[in-house]
Amino acid sequence: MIIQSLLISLLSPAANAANCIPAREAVQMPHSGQYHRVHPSGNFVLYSTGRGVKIADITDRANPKEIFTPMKAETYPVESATGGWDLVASPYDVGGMNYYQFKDILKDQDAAKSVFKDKENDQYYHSSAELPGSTADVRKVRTLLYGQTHREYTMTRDTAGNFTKVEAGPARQQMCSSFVNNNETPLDRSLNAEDTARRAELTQQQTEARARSEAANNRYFDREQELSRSRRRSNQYTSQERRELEALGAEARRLSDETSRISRELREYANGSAYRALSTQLREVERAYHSNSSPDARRTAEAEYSRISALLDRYRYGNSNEFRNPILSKDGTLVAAGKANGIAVYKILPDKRCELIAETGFAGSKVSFSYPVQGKLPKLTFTSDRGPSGNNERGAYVYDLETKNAKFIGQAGEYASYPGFTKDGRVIYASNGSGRAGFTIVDPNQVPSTDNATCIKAASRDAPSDDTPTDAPANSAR
Amino acid sequence: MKLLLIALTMVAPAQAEPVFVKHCPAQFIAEAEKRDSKEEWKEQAPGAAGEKVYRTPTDTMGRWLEVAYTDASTTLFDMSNASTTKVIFGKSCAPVTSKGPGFDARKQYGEPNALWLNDQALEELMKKHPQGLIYVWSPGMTYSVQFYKIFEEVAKELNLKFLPVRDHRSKFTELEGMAKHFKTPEPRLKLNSVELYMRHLTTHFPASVVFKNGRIHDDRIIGVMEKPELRDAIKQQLEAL
Repeated sequence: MIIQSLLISLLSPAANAANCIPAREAVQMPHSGQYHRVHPSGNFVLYSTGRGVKIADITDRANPKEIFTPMKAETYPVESATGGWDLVASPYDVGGMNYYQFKDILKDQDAAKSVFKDKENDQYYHSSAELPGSTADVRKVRTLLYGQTHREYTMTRDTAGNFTKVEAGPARQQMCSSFVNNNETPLDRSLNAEDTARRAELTQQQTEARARSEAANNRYFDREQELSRSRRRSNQYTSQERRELEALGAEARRLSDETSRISRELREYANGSAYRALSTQLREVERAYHSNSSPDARRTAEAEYSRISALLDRYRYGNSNEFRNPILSKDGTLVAAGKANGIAVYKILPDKRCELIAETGFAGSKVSFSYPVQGKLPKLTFTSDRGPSGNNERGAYVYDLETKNAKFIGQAGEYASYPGFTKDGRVIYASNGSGRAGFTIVDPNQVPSTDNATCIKAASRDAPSDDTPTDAPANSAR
Repeated sequence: MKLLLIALTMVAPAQAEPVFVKHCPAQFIAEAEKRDSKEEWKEQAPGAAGEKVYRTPTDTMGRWLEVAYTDASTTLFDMSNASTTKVIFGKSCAPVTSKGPGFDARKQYGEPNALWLNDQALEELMKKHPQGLIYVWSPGMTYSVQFYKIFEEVAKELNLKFLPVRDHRSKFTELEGMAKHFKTPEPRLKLNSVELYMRHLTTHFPASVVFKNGRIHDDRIIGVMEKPELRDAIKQQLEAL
């Protein structure tokens, strides 16, 4: 089906001139789909539907096309630091994870055949990347699964130029089998005799306090209803009735406060003396912050507060949520994972242990990494559900691992999903709802503020590195 | 009516710190205390450049506070299903209050035959069941559909009320795909809860959360897990409540 489409430019004529990179473009292409993956050229977006995977060809922004494929839901490309998609990995396909050549998909569409398959390393929510040391003819590939295991492959191009010769390494290798950071050392949850006794005491107190609090609330409600039944408005109560209600309300508040205090203390004793010591430290840091107006001292206090809070979170939330939905970086050397309250990025060491290098500190979706630039950490893009300060919308973000700063790159009134980087540093995401209106293409460096008059000729990617070959031409099969 | 009364009477021990508000901190703290702020504010993804955003629940189910601040401005939001109150602290730090519509997903994502779980309904369910597992899922998300029954089974094993709630932005048409294939039951109940939304249960599907004795655990269980791991995660959260 050919979909009617229209390119809407949101920039001034100056920025629309030839060779200028627009700050933001919208490609109208209504579709229903999920798990969008952005091609490094920015010309294709792969997405899953209830009936398999399709590719949005948005090379011509004004006339996007839909390409049918034989692939199954949640297909993920084998990404590459050099900016190509030689292969795409289709999970739970016939005979296991099927690897198709992207050029075959573009040429043969849903008649394309996979070049190899792997039954032992096959799962949804995977990610895959070419590793450093890959050459034009020999690709070293790591495919990481949702279950946090991975497998490595060596793929060699045959005389016809196809990656048909594949050597697979051992399957089910644990990713991040351990962490080298102190932050990940086991927690001391030991309870001494005092902890145990106090815990039992507080548990009893908590039960009683909750009952008292509930009874006080009921007394207030019952009296309020009794007065309401007399069909009088609150402003018609006598002063004695008002005083009576206020007294009942005050008592309910006092007992609620008391319950909360006991619950807090119980939490401290239930987690052991090490947790209690950290809680005390946290309160001291808060006091230090507010008693000191020096910016340096306040910055130190903020950093210390974050460190202790993270440790306390680990006590309270445990480790089961510490490494969820892992996604590889474009060169397969970093991995991002969801944590209890944020997104963490780890460096994968040669022995497959992982070293924490950054945490966002706030919740977000699964991420897409930017293409690497020599000597710099990449950026992340993801979405986060915003609260009332953001009109309860889902916004797209870019997080710079170098500066540890997050930037909102969306627009008011927009619902963004599945942002991904192009090789030149722009971000493409599906916009507006599960019935997608289309795609938005953003140059993060030019939003939210741009003078709209300057012609930007290079998107926001940092200076190219020596190890980065030139981009594949538009419409390239790579 | 009863919920409103709870809001009037259940005042938490108000400690607005530590949100490191720069502009009018004392006035912000006083206003947040007045609005039943809890002691713990969690950082959120920022809005405009240089802005920081934090949020906290209150003692009233389905009523949350959010603050957005820069070096020169502080704005506090007080949101529930019923209304959103915005408090701006101007140059003089005097709070200027305005009131707007609350969080109501039905208006934007309404569809025939859907049942909506708002905060009042959530509170009633939590009163009726001493403990439970809320499973927020989306019909287009493979694992969220595929693991629906596994989460349901584990919840039953652990004697928890299983409460599946569908992404408020999803549509019945999406059920034609994966959800239909996996024959997922109870697809009609959709999320319209400030309490669940502000806890980021719609940022990733599935996301789950455990409740016990009227309290919801502070953290989500992100994504899916095999049964033993899921049992451990749920037990750990139940123990912490």
